[in-house]
Amino acid sequence: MFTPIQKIRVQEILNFITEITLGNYTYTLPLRNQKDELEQIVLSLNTMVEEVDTAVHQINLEKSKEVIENVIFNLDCNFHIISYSDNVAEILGYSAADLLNKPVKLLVSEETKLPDDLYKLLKHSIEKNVRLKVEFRHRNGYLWSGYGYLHQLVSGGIKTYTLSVFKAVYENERLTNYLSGQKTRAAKYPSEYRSLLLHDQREIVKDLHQYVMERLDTSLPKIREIGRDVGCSVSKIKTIFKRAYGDTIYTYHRRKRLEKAYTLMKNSNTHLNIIAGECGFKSAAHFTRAFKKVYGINPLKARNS
Amino acid sequence: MIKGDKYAHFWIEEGILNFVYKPNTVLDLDAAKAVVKARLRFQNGVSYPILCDVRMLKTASKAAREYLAEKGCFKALAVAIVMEDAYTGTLLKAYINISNPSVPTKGFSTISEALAFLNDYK
Repeated sequence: MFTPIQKIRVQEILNFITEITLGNYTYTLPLRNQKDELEQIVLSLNTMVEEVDTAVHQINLEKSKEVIENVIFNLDCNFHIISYSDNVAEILGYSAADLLNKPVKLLVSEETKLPDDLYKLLKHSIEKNVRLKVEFRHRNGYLWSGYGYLHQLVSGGIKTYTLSVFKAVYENERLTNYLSGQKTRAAKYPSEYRSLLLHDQREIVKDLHQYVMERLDTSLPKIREIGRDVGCSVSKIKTIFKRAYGDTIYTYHRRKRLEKAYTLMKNSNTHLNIIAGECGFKSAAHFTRAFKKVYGINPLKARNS
Repeated sequence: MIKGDKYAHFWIEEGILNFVYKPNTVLDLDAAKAVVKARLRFQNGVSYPILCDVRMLKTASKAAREYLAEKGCFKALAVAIVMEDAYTGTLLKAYINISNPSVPTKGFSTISEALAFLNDYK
């Protein structure tokens, strides 16, 4: 039914779906210039994985952060791999036998324009600090693409090069722990339900977060009043806030006020009384009690530590 | 420097800006910025309804879609996207429903349907 090439593509697609299932959204499938059913599926999957990546990491903005993945290849004068960074095995799935002394061109897709005329490119890239778009081919066929630089290295008379490629990816601590089986305090969440959070719920979470952050100098009103301001029922606030931040809105608000107070203490000489007032505490004593309860240390000691 | 006309042809006909992507175009953020810049320069400050033919477009990245949904709608009264449903259906749905373009945008499978839609915005 399928030609050998189509069978390879089907296998690539299945492996790609496995990666998505395991929470890895950083790859894309290569497109061929063949308008067939497999190309339709590949195009749709690539679109889907980008949207899933954004959705998963926007549900809990506070826990997701953008980090840079960086892979490095050291190359000899013929562009053969001499050594490489240890994350290559994890990101691209190759073993040392697949890589060492092999031309780096075997790893990159047709879209990546590595130079045939090395001298010309190096001269150009050193003079103009040229950024290359590099697409590496994963062992299973899908692509990991980023931007890289090619540098000539100075060593004892031998010409060597380093190809260093960067890619910005989202990292979600909770998701990583969850997928690696480490149960955290909020292990109940993320659950399979998390990814089904509706768009309007995410909007409410964002509004609530903003509501809290705008009121770090005062205490929060009653939850019924918050509901009126944000346009949401009391039970919904309780449920979705706790799901998103692992705390009640009041506990979260107090934590943020204490964090603000700590920043003010560390970065200014303002008197504790004033800081307590600016962070919505009734008095310095009230602030000290709350601070000590959370951090286990007196604020004055914390300031001087 | 990337030039927008590397990725698309555009011309104005009967009050509608026709915008046709060149074969096998892969639209990333840099390409999307270049395309929008070239289009705006071409329009010279005048707004038009836009007929955008993506049948030859290979793909557009998420960053490019987000950019086009916001900045890509400057000086556009409405956008009719002509596409092959089987290939770009998911891409277009993601663009319209998630990236949420800031002017009326709709997908069509024929140019005549697209023109009929745009006639209301002339």
